[in-house]
Amino acid sequence: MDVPLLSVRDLSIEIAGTRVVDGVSFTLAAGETLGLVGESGSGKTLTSLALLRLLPPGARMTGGQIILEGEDLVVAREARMRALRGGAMAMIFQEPMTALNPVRTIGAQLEHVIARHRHFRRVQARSAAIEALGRVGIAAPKRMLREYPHRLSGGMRQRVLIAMALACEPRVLIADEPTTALDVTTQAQVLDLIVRLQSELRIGVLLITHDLAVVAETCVRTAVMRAGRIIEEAPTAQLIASPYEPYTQSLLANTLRVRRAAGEGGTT
Amino acid sequence: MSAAVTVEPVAPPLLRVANLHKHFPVHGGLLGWTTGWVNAVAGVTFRIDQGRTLGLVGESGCGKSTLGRTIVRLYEPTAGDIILEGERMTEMSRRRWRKRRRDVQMIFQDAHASLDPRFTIERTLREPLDVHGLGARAERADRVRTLLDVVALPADLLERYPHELSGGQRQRVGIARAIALEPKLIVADEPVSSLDVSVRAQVLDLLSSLQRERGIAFLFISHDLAVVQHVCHDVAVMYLGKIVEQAPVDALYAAPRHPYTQALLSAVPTIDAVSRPQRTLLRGDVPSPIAPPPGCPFHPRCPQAMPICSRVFPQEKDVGTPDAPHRVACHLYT
Repeated sequence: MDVPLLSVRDLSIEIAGTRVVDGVSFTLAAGETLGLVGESGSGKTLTSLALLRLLPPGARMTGGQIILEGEDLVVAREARMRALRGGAMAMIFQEPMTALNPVRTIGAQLEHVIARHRHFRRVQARSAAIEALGRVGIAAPKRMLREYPHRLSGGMRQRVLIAMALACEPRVLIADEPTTALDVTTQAQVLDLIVRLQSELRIGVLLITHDLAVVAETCVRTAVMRAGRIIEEAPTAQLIASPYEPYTQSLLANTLRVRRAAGEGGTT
Repeated sequence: MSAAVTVEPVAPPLLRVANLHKHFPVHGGLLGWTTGWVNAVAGVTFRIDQGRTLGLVGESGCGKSTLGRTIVRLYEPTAGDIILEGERMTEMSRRRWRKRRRDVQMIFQDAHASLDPRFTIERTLREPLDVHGLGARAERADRVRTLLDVVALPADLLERYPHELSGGQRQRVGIARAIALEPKLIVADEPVSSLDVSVRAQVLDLLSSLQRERGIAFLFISHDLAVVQHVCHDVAVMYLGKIVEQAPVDALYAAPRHPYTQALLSAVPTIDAVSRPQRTLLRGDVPSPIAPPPGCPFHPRCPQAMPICSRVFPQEKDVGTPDAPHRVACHLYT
């Protein structure tokens, strides 16, 4: 494999002197989906925020490198980071309602982001917005431009956010628990969408979740995080078939599976 | 909860719910007049026998939480019957209901929001005993201690406040409070959804052991089909305020009949992604319960919809065996 799209080396984060992310390293290639799995407090969300240099006040990066296509983001200027966020590196969050501005229409928000990152005029931005909404499977994209976030269902909002994230042709998409707030049927639609767009557009996706089943459905490779460290990383199929670390084993044992027919295997 | 022992019901069932409705007014306009109704629960019928667990599954907004809250009378039903051990709860006097209330308790999803932040754990657990006058005053402190022990919490938590506890500990306190009055039925609304997988497994184990030891029946409300399969004896699937399919757990998961149940099951992500059968991806979202579609409420999203589905609501039909009834409301089976 050639040079990875994104490579993180020895990333460490401290909050009030306590190390909460401790020497995390991973790489992400173009067209690849990497799963980052862990329970609450494992440091997976902080890791993803650090990639965008969006750590909350109080959290401090104490070491490591974040290299996106050869550029070290740790030392990049703030103006450069602003151009990258939502541009080359896009992010979607767990709760789509808080990520959208409640008093502006979907169209206004989408066009603003597109105009800003792609330096488009209004008319161009508008047609790019319509195209983006169409790509995520929204049936009437023109009408959607005039809607306000509160009028949409959770699945629709998440689709809009994915459209917004992908409208600026990112190289990397960071998805933090993108389907946790959604129902299973909507979750299946949104995961399908992410996988389809990822292979069509050849972007690298970092999918952060607490749910091993979500990873099994979408990711080629998976890293397991616990107490701020990546304790195991392997191709997903291998990780699930023969987990090495005791923690991964217990995580798997505690993941309930739906048994399709009587007598078919499953854990209790 | 997993042992599938078939109990021959001799006495009336513990709980029987018949054609239950709960409608909420929708207010609109300048004067806030009622402009419509949400039929959150639109004619639901089921029973739960002593010591059994009925799982109630469905997407958000299908009315499953409203149904649970109506059964514990947090909401007054609009129409229909709730019958507890042969006694109509809907017709009970206030006084009688206050006596019986201890038999039906509830566990909430968000233990943090359902515990009073200004009460110590001791006071939270003691309050129901005081209200219902259970045991001599002096004994109650002991009872509270025993309760903590039953849910495997250390006694030194008694003087703590909810915010000092972890999510799993708070949910255990919620469970201790629910069993304090020795209820016959517990309505558990998404009791483990906000917990990490390892804590979730422990809490589910606790609920099963309570059922084994005390014969408590559960109405287990959840959107998580894997959890439901592991803890329930029977399952009811709800869509837009109606139960569309109801069966013993093994029958439902092995051979779901209703197209909605089939779609729901095939949408569940699984760690055995290879062994998964072909997915039926549902299109669109659940329609608004203010203006439900005519006929079968599922027909606009149904992959097998027929002309009749948009006109007539399908009657429930039993497609199971005499000892394993399997009821489904779908025109494919009528």
